[in-house]
Amino acid sequence: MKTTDPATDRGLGADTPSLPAALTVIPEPAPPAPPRWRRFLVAVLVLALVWAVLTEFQPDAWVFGGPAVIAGSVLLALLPASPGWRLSPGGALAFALWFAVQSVRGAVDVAWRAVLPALPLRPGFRHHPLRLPHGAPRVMFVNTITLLPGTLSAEIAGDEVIVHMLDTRADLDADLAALEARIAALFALPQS
Amino acid sequence: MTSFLGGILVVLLASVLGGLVRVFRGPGAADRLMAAQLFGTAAVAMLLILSQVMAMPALLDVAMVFALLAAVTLVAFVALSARGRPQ
Amino acid sequence: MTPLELIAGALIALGAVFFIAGTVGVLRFPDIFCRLHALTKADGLGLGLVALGVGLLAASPGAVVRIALVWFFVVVASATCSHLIARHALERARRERS
Repeated sequence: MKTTDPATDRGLGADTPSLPAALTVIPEPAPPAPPRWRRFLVAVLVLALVWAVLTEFQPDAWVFGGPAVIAGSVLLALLPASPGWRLSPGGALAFALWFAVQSVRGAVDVAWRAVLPALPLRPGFRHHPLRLPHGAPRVMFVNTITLLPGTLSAEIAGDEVIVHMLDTRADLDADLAALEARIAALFALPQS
Repeated sequence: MTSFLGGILVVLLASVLGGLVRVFRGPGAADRLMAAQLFGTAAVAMLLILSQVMAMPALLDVAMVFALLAAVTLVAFVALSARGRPQ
Repeated sequence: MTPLELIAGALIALGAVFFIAGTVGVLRFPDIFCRLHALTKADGLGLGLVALGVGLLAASPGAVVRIALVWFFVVVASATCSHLIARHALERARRERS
């Protein structure tokens, strides 16, 4: 059995996968974090738009919404800035389509395993190195793992993510390398 | 259509009742809290359908509050249990 | 019954099937990690299908945007929350062994 138990084995277990050559994101300084005033303005714009749509553009609603938008934006600007990022429109569209298909596959897979009388599971944990840059790409990566078929991100330990798998016989490295490449395209990261 | 959607609501209610069984069995606090996440998602689905059945668009706002509160509840639980941990 | 209603009804019914499958998984799967898989993936798609169906029936464009926002919040929150629960369970298991 090629599974490790992170409850006893943190860090580099015997099972640490070797790096597949599928993706290497060329290390490049991330775009600088946007200045505070710009983050504030963007937040005001986005939140005001959401509020306007939610209230179907009723002017009365701004009595409550206006202060709430300002307060939310101030809080956001006070939070520590994360590294900047930019999206590639084409990558985003491709990612959305791919993600929709994968999440349907993931749900059908887990639904089958749940209702089949034999309960076909071979659960276990695996480590996977985090190769995407800090900030939005990494957050996106860890969150998306959970919605892919058979994988669930359980913990981030340094530069590794501990993934729980419903069936440890599946090719985790290939699946996650594909996801990394998609996210690198989504954030317009240079890849070799 | 209305009676059909009513039937769907009963099915969703049954899935929530199944989640209650998990709350009784546990065994851990996390298992029970996970059931709360199930209730949140199912409640949102039921409210979306109810807004259509009862022709009450305001129920969509209730669904949104449920969606956000379920998340806040979980984060509060995890944060509080982390605080009680010896470092 | 219009064709649109038929499609919407089918989507909503399929969504309910995924909710049931999710609950079956939460009850049958052996540990909390496997149960989290069932919860996030099956219920997430179940809600997505219900939202799509109700969105087709919705009267106003405002309602459609609201339904889409609700679905978006739930999916993002449930992925993050299941990560938090899994991490909590792992840390607890570690503490109990040491």
